Amino acid sequence: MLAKINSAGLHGLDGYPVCVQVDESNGLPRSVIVGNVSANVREALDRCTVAMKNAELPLPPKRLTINLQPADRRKDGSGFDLPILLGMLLSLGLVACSPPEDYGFFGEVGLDGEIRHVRGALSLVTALQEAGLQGAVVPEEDAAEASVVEGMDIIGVRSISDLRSLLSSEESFRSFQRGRGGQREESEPEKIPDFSDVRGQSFSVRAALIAAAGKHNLLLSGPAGSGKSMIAKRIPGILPPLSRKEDIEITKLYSIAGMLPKGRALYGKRPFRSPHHSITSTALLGGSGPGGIVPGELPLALNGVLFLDELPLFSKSSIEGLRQPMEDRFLVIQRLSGSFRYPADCLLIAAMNPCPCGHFPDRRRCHCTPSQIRSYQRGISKPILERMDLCVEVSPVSYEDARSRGRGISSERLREDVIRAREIQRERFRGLPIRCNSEMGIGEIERFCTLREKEESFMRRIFQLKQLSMRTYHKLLKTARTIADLSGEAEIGIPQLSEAVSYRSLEERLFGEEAAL
Amino acid sequence: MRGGFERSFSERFPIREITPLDPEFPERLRQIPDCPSCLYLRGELPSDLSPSVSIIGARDGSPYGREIAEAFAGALAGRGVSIVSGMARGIDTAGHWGALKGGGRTYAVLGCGADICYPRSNYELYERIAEQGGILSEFPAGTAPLPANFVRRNRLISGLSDAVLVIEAKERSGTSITVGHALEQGKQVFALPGRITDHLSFGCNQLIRQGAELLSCVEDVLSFLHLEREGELLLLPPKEGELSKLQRKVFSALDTKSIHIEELSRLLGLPTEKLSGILLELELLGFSESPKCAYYRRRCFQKTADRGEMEKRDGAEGPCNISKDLLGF
Repeated sequence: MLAKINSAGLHGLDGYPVCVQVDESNGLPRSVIVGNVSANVREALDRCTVAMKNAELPLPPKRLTINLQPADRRKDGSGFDLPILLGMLLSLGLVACSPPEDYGFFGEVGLDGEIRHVRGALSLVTALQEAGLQGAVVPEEDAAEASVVEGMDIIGVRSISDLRSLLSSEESFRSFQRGRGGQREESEPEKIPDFSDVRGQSFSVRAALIAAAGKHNLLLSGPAGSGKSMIAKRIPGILPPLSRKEDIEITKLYSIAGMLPKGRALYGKRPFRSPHHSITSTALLGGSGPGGIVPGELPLALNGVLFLDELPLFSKSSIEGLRQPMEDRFLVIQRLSGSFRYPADCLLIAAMNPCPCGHFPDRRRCHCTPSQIRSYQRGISKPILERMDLCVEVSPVSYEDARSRGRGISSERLREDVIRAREIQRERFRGLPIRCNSEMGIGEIERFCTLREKEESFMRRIFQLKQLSMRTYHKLLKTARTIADLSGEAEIGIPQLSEAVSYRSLEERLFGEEAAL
Repeated sequence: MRGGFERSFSERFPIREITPLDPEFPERLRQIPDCPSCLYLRGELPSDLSPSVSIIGARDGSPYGREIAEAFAGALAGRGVSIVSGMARGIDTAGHWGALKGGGRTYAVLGCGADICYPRSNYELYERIAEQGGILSEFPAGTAPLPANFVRRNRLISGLSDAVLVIEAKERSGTSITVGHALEQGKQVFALPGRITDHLSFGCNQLIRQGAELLSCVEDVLSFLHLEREGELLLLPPKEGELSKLQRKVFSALDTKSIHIEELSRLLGLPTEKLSGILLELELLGFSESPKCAYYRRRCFQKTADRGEMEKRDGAEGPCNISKDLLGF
């Protein structure tokens, strides 16, 4: 008898429907898997036959042919174990009734008959739903994640015996314990360090607030020990709460990367990725690794923060690789096996020392020569610098600040401001494909950052004084827009513009003549 | 590729060769020991008739030193004094720019061929000097900027001038070599005094102790050059009276050394977002400047009208376009 089971495979971030066909016929007892499968899928046959033996299910001397449709696509992963096993049981008549046609199956099978976790459950179930199915039978470990997809009937199974009792009759399929399906597990709030630990540094903290409010990329430059990393690590704590859509995007990605905490339905927090500066371009962006394509640090920072500490020490190729994805907010990786598209939408925070020894401009401690300082700063690519909306010089911590008892502004208060500003931005960009001020293009800037006459003439004077480029001018307007949103102003005024100017001058000076103070 | 660039460059801007046998060879150089056998030149030679002063100092000069160099060069150039320097980073660059902005003539003596711009970051300056003065070198076109060349060229900087102004110098530096040549050639040396703790002023303070003239105002130099001093001082401190109360409060907290906005905010008890607005107002008024993001300092002198810049703007950007065409921008 021929059995057909619905399943799904993974391609990059998305799943695609696969039909597993198992046919039993008379002949020499030999089993084959066809349909352009990888070695990993071929192994499924061994796992399934041993699992059946250990579950005391007889494997009659029959010829079994297993086909994975569509056959023109390369299939990989251990998720096809369960549909293959089920197909074998069905075709051999070892289960009482066949499952409803609008249900899909995936899961890995162990030799002891246990059904184990697979990566990318969320993407797989989404693909099944898009293919018109009503429900899915998944490993119990993945049931919570799979049930994030609304409108799908998710059944979690733990072992072959579970599967057999599920399919013992139509009634049992209907009444089978759905487990935790449908419930969303409340994730424990992660402890993100609080901004109130930061002493002094009100200028840099303010810049961090603006960066978070408008999703402006931020470069912190300052001497060693001035608290650059401290500030960066606290930024995820002041970003607005995740929307369900954003959370699902993150969960999909982390599930495929195999980084989703066990039993967690949704990832539930904004990622904070801080790769070491020795990272290669492939590890930063993503590439092929064991088990298919592996997302890199940039895609993994999705909707969160990518923190590059010691920016000048990163290799040129890895930093230059960030240019296109930062502009387009997605990343395409091309390999022989196909091209993969990842969202790459994150807040980029970078930190750097002003010179190789890290003490400049304190000339009592820094003995770097001007040319050393220049070549160190030249290590940063100009195009990346141009994508930094805010460039801030962090001051060394003074004794008074270090010893002061007073606490800084708490993350909670900053976050309230950020949420309010984001709310204004959401209203503003309703119906547009952008979410934040930093994403505005020229057209949007002209529409939303209009200046009155007084401000216009003020900007003209600034333009001449600071010898700004047009690109910098636009960034100033975007930053000023966010500052105005933070204070709830409808129009950009001179105070907002002049504050925006104070977060800017680094870019111009960095490559110019003047470095000394 | 590079060779091609240089060839087309020198075809377009011919480098002239002048020997002591030519009548136009600078008389001042004929007087010095070890007179160069040939000078390579882009632009023109400094006139023997007009007074000439060189401004020299450290490559990593402080913003204070650079401001003094620029202001003094501007004031002197405005009175018809030629400004000679070496086009190095820091004080030299500030001196040249000051002279250009003051609408005077300025001359750069290079340690490489006159067709090479070194350092490259000074490309715009190099072009402007070539048309508002001259680029001189004793090395033939194409000579690389080797360290030994710079030591040699220092004697020409002092040789071409009547007085040498030392703005900022460390204890031992290229500046002290130039000063040594100047003394050997019998030129007057002025040194800008500094704080005894400033390592950038060690050299200058030492020179003053050894008998160099103390540089306290432009008029010192003018009277040495027997030039009439006008009624009013050439460089004026900023007029605080023009400022509002709050602006004056912020201005009084500024120093000629750069201070981080964080520290200002602590000193004045004002939040940084408010402070940055006032600091920008002061900057627009010419009372302060921001040499680096978040760092602010007060200016020593009121910003004078930028004559060179204005001419450049009126004259539809002559030199910049030529160089851009050449580089294929």
